[in-house]
Amino acid sequence: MIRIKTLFRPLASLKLTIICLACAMVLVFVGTLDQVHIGIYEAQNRYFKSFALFLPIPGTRFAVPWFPGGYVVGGVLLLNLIAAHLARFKFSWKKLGIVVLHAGLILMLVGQLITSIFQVESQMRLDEGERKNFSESPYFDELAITDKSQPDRDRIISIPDSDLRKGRTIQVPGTDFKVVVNDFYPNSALVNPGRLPSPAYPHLKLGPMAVAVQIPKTYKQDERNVATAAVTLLDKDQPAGSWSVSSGFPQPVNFQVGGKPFQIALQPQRYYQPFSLQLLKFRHDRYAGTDIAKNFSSQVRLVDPARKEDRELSIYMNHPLRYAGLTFYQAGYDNNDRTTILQVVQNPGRLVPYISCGLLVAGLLLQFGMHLFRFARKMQGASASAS
Amino acid sequence: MRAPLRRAGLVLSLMSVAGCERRTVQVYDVPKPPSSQTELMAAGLVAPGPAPAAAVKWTTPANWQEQPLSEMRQGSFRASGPDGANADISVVSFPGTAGGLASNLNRWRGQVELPPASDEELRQATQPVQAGPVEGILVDYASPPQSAKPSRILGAVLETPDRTWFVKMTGPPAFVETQKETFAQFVQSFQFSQVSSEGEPGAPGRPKSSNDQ
Repeated sequence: MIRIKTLFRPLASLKLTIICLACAMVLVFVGTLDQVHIGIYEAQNRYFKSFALFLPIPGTRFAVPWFPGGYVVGGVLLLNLIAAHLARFKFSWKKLGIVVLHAGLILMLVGQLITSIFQVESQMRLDEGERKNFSESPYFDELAITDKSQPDRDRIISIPDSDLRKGRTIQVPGTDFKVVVNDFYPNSALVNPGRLPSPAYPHLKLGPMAVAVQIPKTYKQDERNVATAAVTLLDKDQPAGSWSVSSGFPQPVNFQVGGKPFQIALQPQRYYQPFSLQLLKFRHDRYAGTDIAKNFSSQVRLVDPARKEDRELSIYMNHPLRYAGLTFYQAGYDNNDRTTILQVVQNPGRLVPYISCGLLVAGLLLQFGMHLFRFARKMQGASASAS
Repeated sequence: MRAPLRRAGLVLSLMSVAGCERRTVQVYDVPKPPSSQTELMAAGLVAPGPAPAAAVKWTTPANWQEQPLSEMRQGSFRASGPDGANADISVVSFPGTAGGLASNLNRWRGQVELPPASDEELRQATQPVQAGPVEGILVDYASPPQSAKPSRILGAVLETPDRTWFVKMTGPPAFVETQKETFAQFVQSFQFSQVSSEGEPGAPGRPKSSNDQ
């Protein structure tokens, strides 16, 4: 037992706690400032969902770590907290509150780790009357090759945009297909060919009147990168076709391989579900006589053949739909109030913050309550002996 | 000591695979996209109505009246002037390049009794127009002065990778002149799929957040 405590003592140092908290403050400060330039999503990834902050070496492709990222700071803090308990732990009823309090803190850190690793956020955009069984990523794209030959189902080959790099050949698992990436623009502008500075200016031709030219990636929160790729599909190492596709035009291009109909598109990454939602009616209520929004609500129909569900329900502020491990929030609207945008969040650690906050409150109440109780008893004793 | 380490490694690698939004090449089957309208009509839940939203959306100018659609037309409108003059507006689209830009522009020129023009002449008589990320052209062809039945065409051609869209207004030259600005705005309002366009928050063509006031 003593040996374990000695082992944990350096890790249990209070100085380490202070250093970690100071680092966390620096991360939050710098991350919040940088959010102005790179947007909230990229700031989260760079500062909090990372092991280190990197500084690029000018003129090279390399970068050096210069500060611990959120995972390292949070991880060390978690170990520090656990080690402190193991090294100094001496259970007594008097300290029950502190133990519960720390358990709450540990759970909060673990919960944040679970959220940061497992949470998937996407959006479902529905026009009135439209029904969908998938949501789409607001950040990522995919190159989707769809086999349309079956009457009742489609087979989808999904290649994430992170795999699309110029000159790369991607073997599609379980098939004879290979995808050769001839070129890839992570962000592009679609322009008329006549607007090119010269015919030789690097571009990808999307149609007789539309070409894509590469532009720097955008990190603005209200903008999305328009990726464009030029790809060649190989079937048994024989070219089956070459296309330029752009997420600016997610309409698929039709083609055939071996007599079978296929489609190819570069589109927002899709997350399919075994159930579907249909927008029956979107409401945008305003306060009478003004344009100030009072309420946004989506009347939807949920159909899940496997669970024999078919019901109508309403999604509005503070009243999301929770179904099959997903939460659907009312997030936006478009198209003269005829289109709803639902934020779809999958987070297995959704309940952990509630439990950990409950533990924190219970721990504080217990600890201070016991102090108060002891103090009151002492005062009572003192006044009794004085009288 | 080895086994717990290996277990921890396995858990970590599973976490990294399951996490990070599974960004790997995947092959999976999904049911065919549900056709909501047909299914609902079959279930008797909705009356037969307009077809599901097309891949294009636009904002109809306030003073244009919608006209019944024909097999060819995806949009059909009539603009009326105070003196009984009116113009017909159509939106049609065809797969691919629809026979080429030059032949279509020359077909329009023929309709207002103008002779065919060369590619270069055609190109010089166009103006660029922007409909979201799609860059198209605007043309304005009027009958020659000696024409017995003067007419004027304002046309726009928008090309998406798989289709070519033609927007055309035909009517008496003087009345068409009054509609020139409205026509250009109509063409600019075209939105193909979900391409986001630049502009102020809340501007047309950009999804709005429920948090916006």
